[in-house]
Amino acid sequence: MPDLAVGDVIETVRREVERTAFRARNGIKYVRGSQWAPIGPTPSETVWQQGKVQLRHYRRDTPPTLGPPVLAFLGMVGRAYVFDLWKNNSIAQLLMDAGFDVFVLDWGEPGEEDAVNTLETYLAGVLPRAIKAVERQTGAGEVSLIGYCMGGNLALHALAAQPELPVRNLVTMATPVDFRHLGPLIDALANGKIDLDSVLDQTGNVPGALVRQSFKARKPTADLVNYVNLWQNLWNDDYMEGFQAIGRWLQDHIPVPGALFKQAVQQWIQDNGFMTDRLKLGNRRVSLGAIRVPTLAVIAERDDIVPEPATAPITEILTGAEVELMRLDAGHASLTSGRKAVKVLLPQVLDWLARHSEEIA
Amino acid sequence: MTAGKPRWRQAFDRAERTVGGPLEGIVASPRYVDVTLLVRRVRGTAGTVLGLPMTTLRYVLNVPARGDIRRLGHQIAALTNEVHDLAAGIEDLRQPTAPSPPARRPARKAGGDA
Repeated sequence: MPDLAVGDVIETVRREVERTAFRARNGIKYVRGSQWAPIGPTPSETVWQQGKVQLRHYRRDTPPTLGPPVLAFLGMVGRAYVFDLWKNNSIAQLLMDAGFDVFVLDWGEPGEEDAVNTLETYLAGVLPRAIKAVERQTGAGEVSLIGYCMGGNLALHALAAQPELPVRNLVTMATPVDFRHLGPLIDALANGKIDLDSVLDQTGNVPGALVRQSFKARKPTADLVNYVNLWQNLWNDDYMEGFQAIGRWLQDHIPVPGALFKQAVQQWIQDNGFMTDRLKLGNRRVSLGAIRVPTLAVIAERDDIVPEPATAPITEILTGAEVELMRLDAGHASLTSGRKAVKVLLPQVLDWLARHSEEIA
Repeated sequence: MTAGKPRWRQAFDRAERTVGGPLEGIVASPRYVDVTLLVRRVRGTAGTVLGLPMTTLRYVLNVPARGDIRRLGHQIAALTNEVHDLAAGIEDLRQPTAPSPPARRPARKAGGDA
C-alpha cells in the first residue's frame, strides 16, 4: 500500500468530485442525444454524382502545394465519413494541411435498385469516371488513391483490370490480399458452407445489420467494455467527441450490393484471387502484375480483423510495382482514429505520399 | 499497461479478460460458425414451410409475389446502369481533351505539421 500524503488525498477527492459533476452533466447530454462530434465537420461539396455515388471535394482556403490530388475511398461496408470523423481527427484535413487537394468517393447506401450492381459497375464504371471528375475539377492529369480496408481491394482490382488509369500512387490501408487468414466466418464462405443467397435480404443486398453483427460477434464483451470506458471518461469532453464519432462509424454499416457480394466471395475469397492471380473483370482475366503504380501497403500490427498474414503478401503479388510495407502499431480502427493515429501514424503515411508527389508551381 | 488506471478499472479489466478471452475463443472457432449456420438454416427452412400456404394462395390467385416485383426492380436498375454508361460515354465525347497537368517541381519532404 503506497503512502499517500494528506495533500494527495485531498487533491484526489477534489478531482473525483469535479469529475463526478462533469459526468452528471455529460451523462444527461448523452442520454438526450447531444452531438459532441457532428458528422463530416470539414467543409466539402459534392462535385460529381452518379446514382447514389458521390464525389466530395474538401474545401481548401489556399491553393494546394502538392500534387497530384488525393482520392480516398473505403470498401462497400462502411461510411465514407471515416475520412472526416471529427474536428481533430480528420484524414481529409490532415491531407489538406500537408498540401494536397482532397477528394473522397462515397459509394452511398445501396438500396433494392442497386442489388444488381457488380464489381464492373463500380470498378469499370464509377471509379474511372470519378477519377476523370477529379481531373476536370483540378486540371491534374492523374490522382493518388487511398483505399482503406476493402477500399484497397477495390483499387487493386480496378488497377489490375485498367492499368492505364491515371493513378500516380496507391496507398492501401489494412487491406487483405490473402483471404485465408481472416477467421472462421470467411473460411466458411471460402469453403462454400454458406449459401450466398441466404445472406441476402428482401432487397437482394447483404443487410448492413448483418455486416455489423459479423464484426461485433468477434468481441462478445466489446459493448460492455465500451460502456465502462464511457463511464470512466464521461467527464472528458474531448474523449466524448472521439467516443461518439468512432462509435457511430463502427455501428453504421451499409448494405453490400448482392451481385457484387457474390462476385467478391467467388473471386476474392473462394478463389483467393489476389494471391492466385485469378481475378476477373467483365469476364476478362486480369493480372495484378500489370500494376505499375508505386504502392504503400499500411499494416496495422494489432489488427484482429485483417491480421498481418492477410496483408503482408501484397509485396509478392504486385510484381510490376515498387511496393513498400509500413507496419504501424495500431488496430484496424485505431489506424485512422484517435490521437495516436493523428499525431504519430497518419503523418508517416502522409510523409510517404508527399515524397511520391510533387510541388505544384 | 495498468499504470494510472483506477483500481476498480484494473479489477474490471481482469474480470473482463477472464470471461471475454474464452468467449472470443469460442466465437472464433470453426465449430461455433458451423452451429450458427445450422441454426440459421433450420430457421430458414421453418420459415419456408410455414409460408408455403401463402405462396400457394398467391400462385392460385395469380398475385405477383415480392420476388416478381424485385426481379422487375432489378431489371429497371440494370437499365438505369446502362443509361448511366451511355450518358458517361456521351459526356466523354463532349468534353475537350483534359488540360495538361500544372507545372511541377521535384518532390519534397512532407510538411511536419501534418
